Amino acid sequence: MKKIRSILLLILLSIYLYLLNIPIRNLPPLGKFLNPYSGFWVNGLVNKFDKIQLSGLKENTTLQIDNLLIPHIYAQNDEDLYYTQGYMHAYHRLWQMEFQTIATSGRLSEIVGKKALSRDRSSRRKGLLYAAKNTFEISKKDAETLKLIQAYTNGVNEYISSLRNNNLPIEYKLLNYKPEKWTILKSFLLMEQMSDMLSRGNQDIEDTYLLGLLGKKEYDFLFPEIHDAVDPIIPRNTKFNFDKMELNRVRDTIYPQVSINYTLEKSDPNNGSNNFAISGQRTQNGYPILASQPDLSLNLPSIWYAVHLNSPNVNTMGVSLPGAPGIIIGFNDSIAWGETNATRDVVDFYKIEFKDDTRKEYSFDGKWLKTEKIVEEFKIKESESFFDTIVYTHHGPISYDKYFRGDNSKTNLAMRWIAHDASIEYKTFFKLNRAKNIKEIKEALSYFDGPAQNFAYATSSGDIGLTIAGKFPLKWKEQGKFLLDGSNRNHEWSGFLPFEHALSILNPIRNYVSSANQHPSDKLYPYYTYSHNYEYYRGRRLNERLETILSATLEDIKKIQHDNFNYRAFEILPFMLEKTDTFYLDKIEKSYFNKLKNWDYFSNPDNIETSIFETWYHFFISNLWDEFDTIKFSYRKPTNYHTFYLITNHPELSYYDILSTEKKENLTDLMNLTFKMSSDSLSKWIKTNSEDISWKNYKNTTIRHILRIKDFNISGVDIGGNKHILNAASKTHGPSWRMIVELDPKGVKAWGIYPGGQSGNPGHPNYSSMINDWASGKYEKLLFNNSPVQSNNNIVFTKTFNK
Amino acid sequence: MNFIIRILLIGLLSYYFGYLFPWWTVVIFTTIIGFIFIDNLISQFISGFLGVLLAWVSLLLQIDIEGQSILSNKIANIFSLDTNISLIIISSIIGGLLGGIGCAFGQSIRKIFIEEKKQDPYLD
Repeated sequence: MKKIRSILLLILLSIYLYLLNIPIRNLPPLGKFLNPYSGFWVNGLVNKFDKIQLSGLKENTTLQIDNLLIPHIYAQNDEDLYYTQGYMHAYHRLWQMEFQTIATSGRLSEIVGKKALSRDRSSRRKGLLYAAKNTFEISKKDAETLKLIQAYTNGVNEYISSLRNNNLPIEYKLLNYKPEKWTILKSFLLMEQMSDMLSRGNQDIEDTYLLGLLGKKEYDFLFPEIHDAVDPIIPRNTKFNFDKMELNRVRDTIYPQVSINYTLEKSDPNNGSNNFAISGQRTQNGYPILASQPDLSLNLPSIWYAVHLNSPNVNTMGVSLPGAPGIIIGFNDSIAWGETNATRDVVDFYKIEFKDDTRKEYSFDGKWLKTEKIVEEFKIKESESFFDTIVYTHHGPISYDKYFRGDNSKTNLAMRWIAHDASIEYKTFFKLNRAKNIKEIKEALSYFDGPAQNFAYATSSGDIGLTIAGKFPLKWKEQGKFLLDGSNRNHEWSGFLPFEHALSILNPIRNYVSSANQHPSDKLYPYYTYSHNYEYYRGRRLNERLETILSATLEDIKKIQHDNFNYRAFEILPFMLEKTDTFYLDKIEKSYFNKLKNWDYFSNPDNIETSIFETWYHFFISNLWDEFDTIKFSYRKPTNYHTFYLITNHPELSYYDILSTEKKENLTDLMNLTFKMSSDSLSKWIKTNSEDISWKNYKNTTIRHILRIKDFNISGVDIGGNKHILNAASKTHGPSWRMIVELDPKGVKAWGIYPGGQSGNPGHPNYSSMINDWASGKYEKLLFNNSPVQSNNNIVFTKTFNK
Repeated sequence: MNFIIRILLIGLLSYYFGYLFPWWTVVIFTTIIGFIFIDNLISQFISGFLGVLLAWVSLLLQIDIEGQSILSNKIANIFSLDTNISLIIISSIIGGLLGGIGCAFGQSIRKIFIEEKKQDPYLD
């Protein structure tokens, strides 16, 4: 009897322990997660810096941490420097850096289960891992660079091996898994993630479909490549003194016809940025100033991590990518640099004809070439593995076929993407971090393949310049704008632009250089530089601002980065108002109308005009281009700027009709109807949200945790701006780092801020500590010294680690 | 007295030694304590429950105050709880139950051995 009682208790105990250790529904294992020793609670305690242990050093290294939690690393050799950077990246951001590489390599299902399978398949079909492996192979030949990445990797692993169950980052506890070892390949994967975010933009499949549907004339009417209004990055009428590389002319191109219901997820079209450098002629202190502001997804933990790296060979500071050694946007004792995305189309799709269903051979240039097949295993949490065979051609991996997003066995599209090519970007950053003058900057940029960037730079010796760096295929006009024929040799990229032919300017007469993702040049540049996604507004505003400033101060530059001028509204709204018949407006509508009429076009946080305008604009655009919504395949609509151009130049277009009504509307009807729609929609919004429609409320800028856990987000940020505005803070996108550097030869001064904090731990007060200042336009002065700082109130930790 | 001493012992052991071993080994302390002291199973359960519960409550309060409740508020929301205090109570009850079952189990084993020697009905 008593034995049975004991056995029953033992069973009860075992069941209870078992239940506490397994995940139930979406919750983490309760006992594991909630106990005070190793549960999530421990993450609520601020890590003590005295736990930092650097035991793999070759020489003594001093680490200082300032009150923003920015590490200042003073090493005596470069390997120790990157070793410590790796350690600190992991110390503050381990979960983020690992999660990003897992996502990039298409392994999310291992952590979050089946729901990520489609995303994982896309990642592998895009060939991200394949690209990283190619890069890894070529990097093995560059021993110097590899040695530094290896040192970085060792630093990350030193931190990982110091972890116990209790001090794992919270996300590991929530999702119930553990970190793996870091590898060099993972650092390369991180760069591919950047390429995926920045250089994969294309509309090849969509535009091919539209071309077939609309015919060439109408397609060109709706989707022109450039407008006269554009103020290109390289000023108009710049002469180029090199001999153009010749290409095979292709006549009578016939593009293959394919339509796809769901094309691969696009990188966010709002990814943009602005940067500029002003020469000392136009600054109050007489020194060049460089400003850089990359607009990306607003994430927590932040995309960027600030760090100061000092060794006998280098003294550089700025922001780095957790998972990657070196500084990506920053400055050193002699130069400062910043990037914006160059946007140019470097991804094309080739239609492949296979010999038969075995897909072992495909047609090319009258011959049959062999494919290579790779079976990809997708491990899935709490489920069986999924297998997908990816066929590789010499163009690249088959992204679309009958097993993945293609509708039949005839649809086989190979992806040719510059990011697939082996490249050595890290060398660029190692060199750029050490560059002292224009010559060394250019040498560093010559190694940069992608994602192609507009690098603006300035030096303390007074030079300013801008180079559009990246590996660009030589293309004939319209090559790669539409699907290409994978069996036709003439449809292949015939070569690459030499770095000497890259667009670049140095010390222009106007005394500033700038870029904001707009068209790179006018037609004098002899190469085809198409992208469907060049920006039409920020670049013009930026240059107009820069033109007016003759003696720039720090405050002027800050104002430019926070400029809320809504260029799109400024251009189109007067026309929209003019077309509106006020006779039929009710009281509220009239008040909205008058508000808009008297608006100064600044989208400041507390203004309500922006909310009215954006709502109206939204209804206007969706009813104007509603004809497109009847298309069942992937498509795109004309751009904002081109819409403005069309409605102001073409008073009669069949598109003005609203399909859902019986009447045939004209432009005036369209304006009036959509104005009423927007007024109704705003009234509804006010009712449901019981808030006023001030722009910040209506827009609700939210910095989102990478896992989209609502309670780890910071929402309702008090900031103006929007896409197409220099202060590009839209709902979930915006300035992910703002930096201003004054290149005083006696000592470079720098200011910066980003919407987040150095610590990636949602339980740390630092996690979101900079967001309010970022939103309101404040900056942090960055501490930048040549040697460890003695007795400074801003230093919270100093320790010299012995070898 | 026996009851109070048990609570104190279990409380102190789980408070100070919990960090040295995996979290669930709390159940081992409580099983041993439950084995050593003689009492009825219900009393054993309650002492194990209260001992661990009190230790966890004080540990959690300490952590939470030091961390300014930043994280516990967020996690409470994720678990659809109204406050972080509810989360502290739930966590502690989870620990308490573990302690309670552990103690009762320890005592039940003891009972198997001492069955023949003592015939005091009060103990059973």
